[in-house]
Amino acid sequence: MSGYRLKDGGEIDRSHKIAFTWDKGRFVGYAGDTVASALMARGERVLGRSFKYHRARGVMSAGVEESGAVVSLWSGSRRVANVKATMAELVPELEVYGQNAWPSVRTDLAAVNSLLSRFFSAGFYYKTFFGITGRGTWEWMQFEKLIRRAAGMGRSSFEADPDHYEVVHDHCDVLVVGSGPAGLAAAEAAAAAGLDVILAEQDFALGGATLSGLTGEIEGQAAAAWRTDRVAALRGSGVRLWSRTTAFGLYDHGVVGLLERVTDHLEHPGSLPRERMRIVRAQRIILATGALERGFAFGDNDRPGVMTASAAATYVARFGVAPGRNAMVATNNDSAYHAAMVLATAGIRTTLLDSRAEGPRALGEAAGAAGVDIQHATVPVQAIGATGVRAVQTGRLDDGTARPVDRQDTDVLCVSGGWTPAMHLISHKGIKPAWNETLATFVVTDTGAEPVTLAGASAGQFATGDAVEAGRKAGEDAIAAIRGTARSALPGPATDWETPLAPLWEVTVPDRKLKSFVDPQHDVTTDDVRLAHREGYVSVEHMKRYTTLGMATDQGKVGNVIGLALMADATGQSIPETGTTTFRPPYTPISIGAVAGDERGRHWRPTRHTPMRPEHERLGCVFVDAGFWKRSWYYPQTGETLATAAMREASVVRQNVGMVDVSTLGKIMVQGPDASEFLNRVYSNPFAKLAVGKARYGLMLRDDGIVFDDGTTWRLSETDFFMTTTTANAGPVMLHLANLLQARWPELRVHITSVSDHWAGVAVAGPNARSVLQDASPDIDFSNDAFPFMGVRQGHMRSESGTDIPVMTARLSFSGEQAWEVMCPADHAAGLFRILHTRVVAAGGAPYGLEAMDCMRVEKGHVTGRELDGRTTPADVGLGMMASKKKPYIGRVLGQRAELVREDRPTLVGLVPVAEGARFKAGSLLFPEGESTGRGLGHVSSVADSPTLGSWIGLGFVRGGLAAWQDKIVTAASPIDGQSVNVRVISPHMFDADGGRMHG
Amino acid sequence: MAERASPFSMDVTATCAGVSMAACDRGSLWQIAAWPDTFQRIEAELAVACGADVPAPGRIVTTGDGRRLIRVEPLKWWIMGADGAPCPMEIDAEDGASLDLSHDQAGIQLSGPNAAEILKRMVSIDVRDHAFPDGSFATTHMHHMITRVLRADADGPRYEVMVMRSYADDLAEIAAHHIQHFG
Repeated sequence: MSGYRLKDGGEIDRSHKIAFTWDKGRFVGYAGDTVASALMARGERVLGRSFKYHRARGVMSAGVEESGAVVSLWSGSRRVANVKATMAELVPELEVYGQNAWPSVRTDLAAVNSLLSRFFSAGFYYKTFFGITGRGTWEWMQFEKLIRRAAGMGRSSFEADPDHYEVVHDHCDVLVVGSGPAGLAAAEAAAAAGLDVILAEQDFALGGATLSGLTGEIEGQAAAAWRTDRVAALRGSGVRLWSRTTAFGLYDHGVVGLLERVTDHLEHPGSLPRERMRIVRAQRIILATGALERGFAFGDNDRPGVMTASAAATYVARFGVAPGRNAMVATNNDSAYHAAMVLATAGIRTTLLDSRAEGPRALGEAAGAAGVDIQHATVPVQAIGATGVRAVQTGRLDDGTARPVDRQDTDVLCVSGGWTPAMHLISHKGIKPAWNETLATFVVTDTGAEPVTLAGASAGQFATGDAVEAGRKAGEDAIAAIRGTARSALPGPATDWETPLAPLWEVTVPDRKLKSFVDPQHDVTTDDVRLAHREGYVSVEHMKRYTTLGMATDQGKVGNVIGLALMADATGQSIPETGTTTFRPPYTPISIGAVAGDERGRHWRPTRHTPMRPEHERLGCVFVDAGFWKRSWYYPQTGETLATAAMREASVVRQNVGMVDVSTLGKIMVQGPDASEFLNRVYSNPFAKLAVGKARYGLMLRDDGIVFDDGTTWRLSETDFFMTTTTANAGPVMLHLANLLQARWPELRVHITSVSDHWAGVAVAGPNARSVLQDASPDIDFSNDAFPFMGVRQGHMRSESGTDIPVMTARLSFSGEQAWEVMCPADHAAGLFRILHTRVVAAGGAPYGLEAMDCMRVEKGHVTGRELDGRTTPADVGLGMMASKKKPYIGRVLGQRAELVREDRPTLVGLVPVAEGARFKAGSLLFPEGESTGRGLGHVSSVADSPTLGSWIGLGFVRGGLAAWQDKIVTAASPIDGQSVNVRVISPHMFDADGGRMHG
Repeated sequence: MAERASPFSMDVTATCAGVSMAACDRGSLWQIAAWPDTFQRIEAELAVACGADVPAPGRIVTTGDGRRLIRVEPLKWWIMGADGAPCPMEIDAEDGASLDLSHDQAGIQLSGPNAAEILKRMVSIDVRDHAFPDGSFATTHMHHMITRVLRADADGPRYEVMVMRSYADDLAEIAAHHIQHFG
């Protein structure tokens, strides 16, 4: 033995040495090692510090349930915290660091917390909220930072993640989770029938329990040979074998979330993603996820050197590492006899304590023959050795309590308190397990309507032969379910134990206080569970949250059953009566990066560009985000800011002519014989008699009478309407209309189709808009008589080279100027923009952006989403006259509710500052003059610096509206910075109130 | 008539790791819609107008002159053809509706032996050969975008992925990213 590495054995590649660092010290392991096995081989015992008490912790398991050896990997931007060393594959130059300790896990100054443990009991955080003096919140705020520093686990990197991740969607007939005996058998059976099978294994090595040395021969073959043959058969059948892939969540309709670790083990990862989230949709799912060995509680059962019996065997059989030189195995069931024999056969002095008065005869004889010293009715009372077990005080079990009898030297204490099926995934679907007295654990026996089967140890079939048989039957069941043939009953829980398991949850000694852990990951002790009960917690769900038992990354893997048993004991109920908690995804932690996948940076959300983008960019446009859209915001000239550019652009429109890209408007074709009737029901104002070739502004309400959206609808023919919506509501309006047609009025012969991206548009506005458009069009008469306000015409726009672009145009105005919206098919939009831009500039005009447009609409008192904010009625925004009193429409009935028709509702008004040059902010609350506290009279919704009026102006809502406040002074107070400005309430129509300019 | 502008602001051609990407041609796209009580008649008339059987839901039929017929919704078909091609049939409002959508969509082609692997990184539909064979069509979503996928093999697997025109660059960038990192 070199260190603790055995001379031979194990499934590591001894020809391939791997160098790595542990807390900056240089170590060497072998390919096939985990961090835990490599450090164990070098005699490193303290690998972690506990959550609250900073107690020294070592390797406690050989799998995902690890609670002690929790470490951080890599450094800098690639650092990953809270990794189970038992699952971390050893790769070249891996950096491993201890965490939650200073200066190191070996000598952690915060271990002083352990002396204060009586103050850190269950509910510590909650009690801190109340505080010692009753000033709970204040005190909590003082302690919070300190507590956050002292408690917890590793620290994430604050640097940007340099790696990339991806999400992949996969489909299959059968997904098998787990590659142990049951999983391999299930996959082989399903694949042999020609089904498309995926086998996912969380470990980097396939084989599950066959790697542990505990399965013995399988179907007459050595476990390794059996595994090799099965894997070869699966590969030959085209089964997708995914190692390093954890099924972390089970969701509706056979959807399983898996995380694949792609490159951390590769020396040259190239451009591959670090991790890959696989979303698998399977017709049938077989969960062969095995079982987790649990311990039982005794004094200081968290010391480095205390681990599960199966883990100890695994380190010997799989990694060729002796977990100690003088092992003690403590058990209440037969399975640990196998583990003891693995240890003894490897040359490790091994003593077995069996809590039962009598053990299995045949197994006992075999263990004795292997050199195991067996002591019956004996249990460990307390582990001795703060930084590593040196000895164990043992006791005789008598009537449920222990009587200390001896102190026995040992350096590793291997515990088996029974097995808990890993049924987390099926629990994600809300399936409840049933208590099995024989196995002393919860087992899922019925998965209901879920397309899921459990097989092997996950179903309580703990004997290897039973597991293989159950796996095959699960595979055959999947075949039958998919092909619709007769299905047979599946086997139930079974064991090959000679002697029944004797439930043992906690070793207690009369009149002696022991610190016995139930959930070492969260430092939850047996006393914490009892304290929770004394403080009134009777529901297991409440107890779990109060004590934090089984929460977070552990998800009940280690202490769930013991905690339940202790709670049952405290309440005087049986364990089934006490119930079980629900496990939640993810089964093991997954990185946020993998969840995000490629949807990060530039692609964290989609970006929409209008087809006029090349022209905007050519003109130096600055864009602004509006939902997914990049909208033209302003076109700065040399030295201009947003404000000065917008002022110039708005002035140009008012004085001459401007053009703006309105392609982002939602556009919906409404077609059919009943289209006008449909629109008449959808809009609050009448549409039934809208003439062909005319457009109308419409106000669309929600069912509750609140304004939903507004826009214009153009009647192109008797049966074809072109509806525009606001940019923001394009999608919601489409959904609303589809819902109405499909669910409420299916009798209407109406088709709706989004044409938002087929059509692109430009609005040309200003006193010279008519001449610009007339100059550009060869076949549309833009004169006032031929093209009146709200008219719609179709024709062409012609470039200087004589190329015609088909357009449809309507005379509408959002700016308050004489204006037209010109729509064309999107591929021609850039060409249309060029045609119009040439003429606009020649006329002395300019393009304008969203900022100038917003300024002009505020001058006119036109509303946008800032006013139509989901709280306002038509009357609130001054459009009450548009709500028909003659016809039914969506929102009419509920819009008449008393609260919505109160006369003192805040309604739309215009606002100007009293003091020349003063400015006020959107979002300010409006108060009676001089006041600035309370909820106020209303609020400011929009503001603008008006070049036309030469003043800062705004729109807002005041209780009672213009009728109560016209020409009166109110105070606009910003709740953000406290700024107060006196403003005068005026009509919201602050410019060209009679509409003479746009009708001209 | 003016030339049509590409919906992409970049060159979208790429070839890597057994996958080639290119922009789909800008052609015509007409939508024909029927009413529940006229559906069968319009389907028959459309078949005559196009000279081909009208496809079942989720399937594409290619006519002798290269047009594609797709059943995109229970009562709607798309007819994709050459640029400028007229609507294949006139339809009275009492029978249904027609609509030009030729500029509404932007598409890329993914072809090659690994094209399906790239597609699996973009959309959630089942693209295994037996589930999505040549001549298949599906409406799905990708990164918040309504996405249409059709399979039209040509010397091997070839998929066309279409989104609304304003998302064109996102579509191309996402596909290019996956192609670059595939392996």
